[in-house]
Amino acid sequence: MTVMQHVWIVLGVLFVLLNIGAGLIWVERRMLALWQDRLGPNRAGPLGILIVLADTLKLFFKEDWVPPFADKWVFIIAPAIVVASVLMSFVVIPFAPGIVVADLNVGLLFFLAMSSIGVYSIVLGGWASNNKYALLGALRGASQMIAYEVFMGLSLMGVVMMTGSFKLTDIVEAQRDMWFFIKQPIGLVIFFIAGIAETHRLPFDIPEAESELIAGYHAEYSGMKFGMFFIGEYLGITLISAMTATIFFGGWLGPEFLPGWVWFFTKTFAFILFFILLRASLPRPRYDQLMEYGWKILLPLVLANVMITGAVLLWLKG
Amino acid sequence: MAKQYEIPIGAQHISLLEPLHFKFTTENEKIINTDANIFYVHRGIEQACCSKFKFRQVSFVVGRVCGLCSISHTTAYSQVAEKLLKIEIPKRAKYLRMLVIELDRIHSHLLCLSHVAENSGFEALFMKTMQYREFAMELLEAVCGNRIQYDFSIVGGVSRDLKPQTGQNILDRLKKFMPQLDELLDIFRNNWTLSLKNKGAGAITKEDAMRLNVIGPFARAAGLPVDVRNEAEDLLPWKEVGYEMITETTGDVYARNMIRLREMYISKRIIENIIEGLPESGLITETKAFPDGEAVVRLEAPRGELFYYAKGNKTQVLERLKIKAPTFSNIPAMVEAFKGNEYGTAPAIIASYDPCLSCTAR
Repeated sequence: MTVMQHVWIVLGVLFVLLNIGAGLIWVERRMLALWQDRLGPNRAGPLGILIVLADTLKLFFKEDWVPPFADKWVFIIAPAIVVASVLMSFVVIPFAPGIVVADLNVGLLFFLAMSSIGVYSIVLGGWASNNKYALLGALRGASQMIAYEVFMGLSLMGVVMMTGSFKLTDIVEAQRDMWFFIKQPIGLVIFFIAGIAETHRLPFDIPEAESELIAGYHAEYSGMKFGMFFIGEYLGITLISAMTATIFFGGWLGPEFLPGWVWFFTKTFAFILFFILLRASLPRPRYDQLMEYGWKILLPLVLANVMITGAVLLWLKG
Repeated sequence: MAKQYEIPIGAQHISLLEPLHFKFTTENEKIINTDANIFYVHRGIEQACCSKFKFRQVSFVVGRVCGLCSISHTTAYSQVAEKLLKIEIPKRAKYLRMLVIELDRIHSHLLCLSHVAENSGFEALFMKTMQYREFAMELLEAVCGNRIQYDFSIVGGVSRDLKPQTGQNILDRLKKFMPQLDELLDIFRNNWTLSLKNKGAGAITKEDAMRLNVIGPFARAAGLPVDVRNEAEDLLPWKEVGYEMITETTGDVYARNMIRLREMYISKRIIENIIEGLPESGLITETKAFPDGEAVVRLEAPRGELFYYAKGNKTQVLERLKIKAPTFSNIPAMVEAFKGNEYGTAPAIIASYDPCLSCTAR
C-alpha cells in the first residue's frame, strides 16, 4: 500500500466514525421514543434528523467554562483522553478485507489497553472538577471500569485460544466455517456485559447515575468539552458493537451478494440498536450490587469458560 | 474508621420535584445521618387568606397551595368554612367532592409511582406510568374544567354539576385503565431489577412509625391503619361508597408502591359507586351568615391527613387560618428512614415519601 492509500483509509475511518458518533444522538433519541411510546425529536428536518446539527451547533456556541475551583489543565485534558483512546481502538478494527488502519499482530491487546486508558478520562475529569458529585462518579467509574476490564479481557481469551492469534484479521478469517458466538456463547455474553460497563451505558451508567449524582464525572463540563465526553460515549458504543461483530459474528464475512463492509456495518448497527434497546428497557442497579454481580458471578463464569475452552482444545488435539 | 463524607441533595437537584434539601452524612456511601430543610417555598398564603381575601374567595386561594392535591385543600377549606357558617351541604355536592378527590388520588399516586421508577433508574417504567396518568388528568379536566388546580369545591357546595355523559365517560375510561393498572402492579411487584432497589430500602418499622407520628401511605405501608377516610364520617360519607383500609407490613419503598397501587383499585371502586348512586339534589347551600367561632377539619389527601383550622369573627375576613400538610408530619420519619441505606437508593426513597413541599411551606 502506498502512503496516500494509508492516509485515505485513516481519513475515511475518521470521517465515518465521527459522523456515526453524531448520528447516533438522533438514532438513540428516535429509537428510545419509539420503544417508550413517545414521539422524540421530530421538528427539525425530515424525521427530526437536523437535531444533530442543532445539537452540535449548540455545543460549539456554549460558553466554554472552566470552574475557578478546578484543576485547569487536567480539566481540559480529560475529555480529550476519552475520544482519543476510543478512536485509537478503531485503528485495529478490520472494516473489510484490506480496509484496516493498522493490522497489528497484538490487535486485541491493543484494544484492551486503549479501553483501559479510557478510565483516566473519567478519573481525571471527576477529580479535576473538584465537585462532590463528580468525584463520587469518578471513583465509582474507576472501580467499575477496572473491575469489568478484567472480565472483558478474560472473556476474549477463549477466542484467542481457538484462533491462536491476537490479530483481528486472523480472528475474522478463523470464522469462515462457523462464527465464534456458537462456540463461545458465554464469552459473547460476558464480553457484551463488560462492554456495557466499559462504556458506562444504562443499565450500568453508575458513574453518571442521573438521579443520584446528576451527571457524575462530567457534572462541571459544558460546551464542547462536554461534547467530547458525549461523542466519546457514542464512539464507545460503536467500538464495543464493532468488536462484538468482529470477534463473535464474523466481521465482514457474510453471503457474497453484498460487499464485506456492508455486512460489517449491518452487524455493528444491530448491536448499537441492542445497546439502545437495553437503555430503553432496563433499570440501573445499585453500585454495590453491580460490583457484587461482577466479582461473584461473572468472574467465576469467565474463568470456567477459559478453563473449559482450553481443556476441550487440548482434548481435540489429542 | 472510615472517613465521613457529606453529600447534599437539593434544594435544586435533578431527582427532586420541589425544593427540598437533605444533607446526608455518609460512610462508604452508607447514610448514617440526615439533615433536612424543607421551607424553601414559603409564599405567605395563610397570611393572605386572613387579610387580603374574603372568606368566600379563600377557597380559590388555598387551591393554589399545591398543584397536585389542590382539591383536598379547597375541599378541606370549604368544609371548615361550612362548619363556621353552621350549614349542611347537599348530598350530591358531598358525592361530587369525593369523586374528584378520588380521581385526584389516582393521578397523584401515579405521579409518585412514576418518580419512584425514575429515581430507581427505570426510565421505561417512568414513561409508561406517566402515559397512563394522562387519562386521570383528562377526566379531571372534563369534570372540573382544569387539569390541575381545580376550583371545584366552593364554600357551600361545588361549583359544577356532573353531566351524565361525563359520568359515563369516566366509567368507560376507568374500565380501560384497569388492565393498565394490572400491568403496573405486575411490574412493580414482580420486576426483579426494580426490586433490587426498592425492597428493603427506606424501611421503617411499625413501632417507629407510631412513635414518629407518621401518616398517609407512608404509615399504611408500615402497617399502621391510619386513614381519615376510615374515621370522619360526618363530612364525607366514605364508607357508604365502598372505602376499605389497605395496609402493608414491610414499610419499605416496595410496600409504599404497593399501597399506592392497591389504593387505586379502591379509588376506582369508590368512583364507580359514586357515579352509579349519585343522589339528586341541589349543588350548593346558600347562606348570608358570616364565619364565627373556631373549627378544625381533617381530610385524607393523597399524601395523608390534611388538617385545617379556621377562626372567624363575624366579618368577611377570617381571623386565622392554619394549614398543616401531610408532608410536615412525616418529616421526622423521613429523616429516620434514611439511616443505614446506601446513598444510591436515596433518590428512590425520597420519591417514595411523595413529599409535597409547596403544601408544607405554603
